Amino acid sequence: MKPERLEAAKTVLLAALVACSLFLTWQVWWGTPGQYEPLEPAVRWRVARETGSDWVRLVRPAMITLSAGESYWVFLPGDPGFDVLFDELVSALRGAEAGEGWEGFPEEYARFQADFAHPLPLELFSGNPEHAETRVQSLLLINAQANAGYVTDSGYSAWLKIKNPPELELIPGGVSGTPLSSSDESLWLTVIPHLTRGAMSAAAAGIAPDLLAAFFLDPSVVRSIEEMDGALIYTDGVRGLRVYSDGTLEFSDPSSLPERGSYSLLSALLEADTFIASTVGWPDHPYLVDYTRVSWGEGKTGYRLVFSWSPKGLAIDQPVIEVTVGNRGVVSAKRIGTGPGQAGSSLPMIPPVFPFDLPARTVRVEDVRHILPAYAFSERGGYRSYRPVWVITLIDGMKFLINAHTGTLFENR
Amino acid sequence: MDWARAKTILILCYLVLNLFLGYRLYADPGRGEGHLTVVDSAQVAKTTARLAEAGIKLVTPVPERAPALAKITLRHRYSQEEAVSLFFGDSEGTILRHEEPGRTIYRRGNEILTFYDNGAMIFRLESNQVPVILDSAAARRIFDEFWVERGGLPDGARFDSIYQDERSGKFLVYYYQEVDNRVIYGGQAVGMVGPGGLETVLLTWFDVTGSAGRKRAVIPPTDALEMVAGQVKGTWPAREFIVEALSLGYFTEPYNARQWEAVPVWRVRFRDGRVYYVNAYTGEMEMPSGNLFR
Repeated sequence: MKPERLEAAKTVLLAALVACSLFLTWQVWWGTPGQYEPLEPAVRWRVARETGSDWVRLVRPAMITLSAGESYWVFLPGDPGFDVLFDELVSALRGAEAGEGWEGFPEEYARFQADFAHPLPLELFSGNPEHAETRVQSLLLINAQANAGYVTDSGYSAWLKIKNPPELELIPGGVSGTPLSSSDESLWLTVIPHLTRGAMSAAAAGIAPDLLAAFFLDPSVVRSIEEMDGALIYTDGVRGLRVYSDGTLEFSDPSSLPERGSYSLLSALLEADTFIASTVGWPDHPYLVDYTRVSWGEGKTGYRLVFSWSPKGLAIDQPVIEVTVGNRGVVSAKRIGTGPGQAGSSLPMIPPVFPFDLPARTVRVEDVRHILPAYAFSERGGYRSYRPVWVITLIDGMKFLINAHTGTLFENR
Repeated sequence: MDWARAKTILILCYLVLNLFLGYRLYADPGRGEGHLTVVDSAQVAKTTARLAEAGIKLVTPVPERAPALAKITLRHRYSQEEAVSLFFGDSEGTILRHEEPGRTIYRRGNEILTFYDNGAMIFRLESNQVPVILDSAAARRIFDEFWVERGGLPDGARFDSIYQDERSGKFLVYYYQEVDNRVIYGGQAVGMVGPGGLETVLLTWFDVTGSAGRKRAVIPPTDALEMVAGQVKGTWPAREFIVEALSLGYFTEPYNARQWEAVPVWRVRFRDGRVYYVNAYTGEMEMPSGNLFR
């Protein structure tokens, strides 16, 4: 054979050997039996438990009022300064001691008022188990010139004396407001913020494309069930996720994770926070609407937590997320699919005018405990929307809504 | 550079490399079968010993290999109309229809067909047969004859087992469903036979509409056995229990659904009729929601 032909043959042979080695390498790499690797229960959740939780943001008030002298400012969730102010209140409460009453009411003072959309236990803020049964609708922090601070609940039933009260300053970010009754000698004060808001249409929530990966560690083992009503169920045989056509999600996990004992409200909040943050995620400005202690046998307790949220700064009086924390962590969760969508034209919110005539009685200014701006769900002629309202809570506990664009009684139809 | 010499060296190197890789593939027990799950005899022996500690005796061979499997998609085989036609046939007599929440009931004389929204069917009949001395062979024959009168068992029916209920003395005859060499546990035809003949027929039957997702390796059958042993340990009376059958198939329940997916399972069947399903992807116990079928 001629040397040229020999070299050409060697080149072809070398190319063939290289191709063959690539093929064999691929076969060895991908063609060997798959190794089944059981998943440890501890890592079945995608929850990053070590990341901690900013639980305070889950118990935000619906409105914060700051007043000094004749100036009144209202801060809503999302306003610059809102979180700073609330953090200051929470920090102050952590060092508070139970008090018997006022030790001489100062002539001049700055006041800071946090109004919650729903009553919360004072224990959550003070850390004192004695306050577990004291549910507060509003917290009032009074900062006197004498460097003394006091906190009370809306009914003045729980008093806390603050060791190192924060300096209260009028910081930019809120909107100005008008006191409902500045002449009232009472410590309580209702400030009506000057707001403009538009109605919002109700829309179905979107479903994230990586939804299964959020709930199941290995989505490839998950099977689907297409129900007759259009809902889809995903399950890995133990955990189940039901997806409704309107975006509502229901998750349940009766799995065999190790028992973790009883939960306090705070630890249940932390557990729920990590779970929701790592699955569907929180909506804007979530807040705790309701909580119920649930029993899990053998004295173990957990909590059922219900959350709503505050789109555009106004609380929605409608649950958006429900989480049940049992003795093994989160055992069920639900996200409501319907929520605010497109916003309409922004209009001034007409302040409520008193006396206000209800069908059965007339409400006077002195009957009012406090007033909060909010969005209320409305369904009229098949059109579903969220409309700006004033939520009026009376001293006797009665609550009603006034349409903030018409000034009339709000009716859900 | 001496290219001729370099090529020669490279040819020799690649030749050695290819021989090595070729040997690796040749020596590989799963060669050519994709993500095959392989169990060696040492693993089987270890599992058998652990089962023995839990009071469980293994009398069935443990599969040494299991193929990678994808999920399958299913839908119900029979509509209500087809079920009525299947059970009542074309014979004379008025069929009365009655709806209740979750089910529709058809009645003709002493024969009652209940069609559940989840696709499960229960057919009850009062037999006029002369009482017979019943044994398992007679029970199976009676059940088979019932189907012969209706044109034969549904497609893909495979005989599974017969058990006698200790309290009533009645026999339960089980058939499972097989489609394209895939066993569908949950696709079942079950007959309850008493001394007076066939009393009840339970039927759930499915169509396999395709596969879903990629094939993936299943867990070793030994893992499934140990999972079952851990589950039943201490829950039964202290006597020996015997694993009579261990097999790979698909698990499903009847759902009130248009279509759904089923995953591979290892089915562990005990001699006394108890059956456990272990998810062959995750190794977790499958938990049937009802006790109508096993």
